[in-house]
Amino acid sequence: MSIKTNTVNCTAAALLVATFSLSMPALASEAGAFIGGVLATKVIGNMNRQTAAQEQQAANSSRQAAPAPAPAPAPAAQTPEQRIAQLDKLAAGGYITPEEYKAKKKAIIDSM
Amino acid sequence: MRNKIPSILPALGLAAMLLPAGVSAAGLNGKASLVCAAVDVIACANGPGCREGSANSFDLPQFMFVDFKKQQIHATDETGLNVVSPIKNSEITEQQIILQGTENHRGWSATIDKANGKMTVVSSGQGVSFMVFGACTTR
Repeated sequence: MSIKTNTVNCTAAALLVATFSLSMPALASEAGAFIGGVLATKVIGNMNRQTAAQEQQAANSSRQAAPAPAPAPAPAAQTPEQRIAQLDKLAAGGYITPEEYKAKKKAIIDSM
Repeated sequence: MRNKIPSILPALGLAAMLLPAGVSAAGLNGKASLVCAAVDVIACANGPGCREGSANSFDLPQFMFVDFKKQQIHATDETGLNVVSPIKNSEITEQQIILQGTENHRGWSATIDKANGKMTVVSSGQGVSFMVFGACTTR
């Protein structure tokens, strides 16, 4: 309501000032384009600023609203038997060399 | 926005009451020069959509002047530069004054209601269209 009242007041004031300053002096020395020039530049510039501000606001609110990613579940601790069984599968599949197999198996046994 | 346009009516009424006798909305005849105040703006672009606000928030010149003798609409920007739009076509109907022009690859049209001075300026081109709503009275 107060915004509306202000708009009315501003318009009234603007019109009254304009009405009583009938011989407004020309301040300018040279003429540029008005509607397709200054007016368009100001409107489009302001629209771009509003769009950028809105996008920024949307980005900020989506960052705030997005739930924090759930932490990855910790891998269940494997027993030495399970680790050696897994190692056997890797060796059987040819994924690791016999040397690597031996070294890993030794490391598992040593960690017990 | 529909509500905003009638909001200028009290202002026009007040201005009309304070105008010297003989100068009223009836003076909007397409001959006497006009002074117009921009009130609201709606601007739309293909993509980001539309934005609206007061003429003040869009930094528009406070007044624009319609000079029928010189066939131009002019204003003064904040740097003091006189900016002018030549009127290429004008039509005075029973109800309205319709002015049209082109500038910088944009077309524009200004319509002023003779009965109440309500002004609508539309400009379009290069993917952006905007409307300026306001009110005019005789100078």
